[in-house]
Amino acid sequence: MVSRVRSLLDQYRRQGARSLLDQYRRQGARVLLDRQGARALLEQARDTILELLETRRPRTPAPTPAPTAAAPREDLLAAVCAGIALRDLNLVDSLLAELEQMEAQEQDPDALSRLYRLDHLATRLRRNAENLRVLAGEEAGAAAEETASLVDVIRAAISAIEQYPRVDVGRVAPLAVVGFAADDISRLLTELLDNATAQSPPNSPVTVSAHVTEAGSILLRVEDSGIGLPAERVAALNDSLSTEPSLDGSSIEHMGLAVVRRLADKHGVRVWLGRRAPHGTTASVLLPPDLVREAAPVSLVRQPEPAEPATTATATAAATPGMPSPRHSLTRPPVHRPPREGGVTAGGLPRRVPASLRPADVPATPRPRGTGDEGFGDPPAPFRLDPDDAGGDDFFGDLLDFDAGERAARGTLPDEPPEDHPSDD
Amino acid sequence: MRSTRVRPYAITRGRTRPRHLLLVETLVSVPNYDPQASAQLMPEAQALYERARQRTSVAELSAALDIPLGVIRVLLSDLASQDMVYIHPTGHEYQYDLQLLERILDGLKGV
Repeated sequence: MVSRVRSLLDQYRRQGARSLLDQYRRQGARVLLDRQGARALLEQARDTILELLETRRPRTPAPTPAPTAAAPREDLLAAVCAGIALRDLNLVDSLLAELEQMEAQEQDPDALSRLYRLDHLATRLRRNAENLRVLAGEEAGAAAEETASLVDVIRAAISAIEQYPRVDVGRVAPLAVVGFAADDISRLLTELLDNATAQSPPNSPVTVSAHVTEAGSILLRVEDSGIGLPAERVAALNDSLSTEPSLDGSSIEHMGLAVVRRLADKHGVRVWLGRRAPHGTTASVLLPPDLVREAAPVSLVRQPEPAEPATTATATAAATPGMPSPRHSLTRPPVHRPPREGGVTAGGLPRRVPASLRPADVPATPRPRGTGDEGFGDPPAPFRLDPDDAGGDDFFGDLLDFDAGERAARGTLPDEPPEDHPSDD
Repeated sequence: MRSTRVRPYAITRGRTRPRHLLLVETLVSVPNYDPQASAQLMPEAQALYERARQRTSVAELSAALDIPLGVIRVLLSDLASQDMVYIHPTGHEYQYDLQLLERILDGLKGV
């Protein structure tokens, strides 16, 4: 697996985004072969991405040679790139939403694993498109309104790198990042994590952690155990990280670094590299206190789905706008997709739509006892079936009866479970 | 609407195959609840751990929490490997007993 990942990485370096795209197309074709809707979507995505790649080629050399005279032309190119990247993001977002639904319904581990690979490729495509927008001087995407917990900011960053299984999440302070910066901090971390995994042995872990400083800021650390960088190289990189971000010749080679500089500058975040004992590199990110918030209580409990009759219609009506104006439209126009009332949970997970076993009008009642206030945030109260909830009770009772019936049928007593928990009724 | 940024594969490190047999009707419970251990879990595992303090089935967990079933299975299996969650032996031997499986199917149809 690791060697396969390595070879994919090499391949990606050699051939760039096009090989990623081809790989994606092959995987996609295999899985989506007989699912017409998703397939059409994929082809649409491919066309736009190809288009993007075509337009991208002239862009890359553009900032390098003519610094003075060609300024308006550069602006235009940047605007064009940003616009195309935005359209790309819309498509990739629809693709990801589609994949989420398929993943939620998939029961077969092998098929799910293939869907995960597709998801991973699509997530990396999204990262490319977002980086393109950052480099073109635009917002990468519509900022979230609610704060995101540090754990989720970090895991979102991990989601977008190639070698994500190698990253260990260490100790993370139970705090949150303010909504308008959360995704940008994830993007910045993604580039640091990607660099750390690429520059260290393929089987060594990369650790990311987050601590609160006395000043109320947050210090994020990305540590790898590669061979490390010579002191003068670290100094040079730190110099370039602390100076005004601008595109130059080295931006082509170190695109990640350029993205980090832009995003750090935008949010007043300090980023620096250091050598790590005994070997390896530590990338540190200091988030100023005004980006830090108290963490919202962790709640993954499914809320009863409200009826949404109107939104779907408006979304469909607005689904075919003309070309989105690349300069000022930061909110991505809604794309046509099957109605999904779910949305996103506080934990960043897709909210599933399939019907609950519980009757729709009966919400899950958290246990009223105040046991849920220890430790990390506010863990959900222990589960308890509402006595009035006849459906749930029936189901649970059925299961127990079923269990008893099975024992009788087999004429054997299965292993006794360990002592029931005190909170067991 | 944005797609979620924490992807399901990142929660399970890409794993889709649980090490334990976890059918939808399999019951799980927490033998010795430890609030400190709970606090150190990732949000999804923590939610499962807290819910399973009351003996519950995989289907119930999936219905009550906003976590895809494929992720729930892998995380429960991880918790079971650390002895944090007990997987009740219901159905443990089903896979070798076709007759029993058929009887269960009949029974379920009758429910």
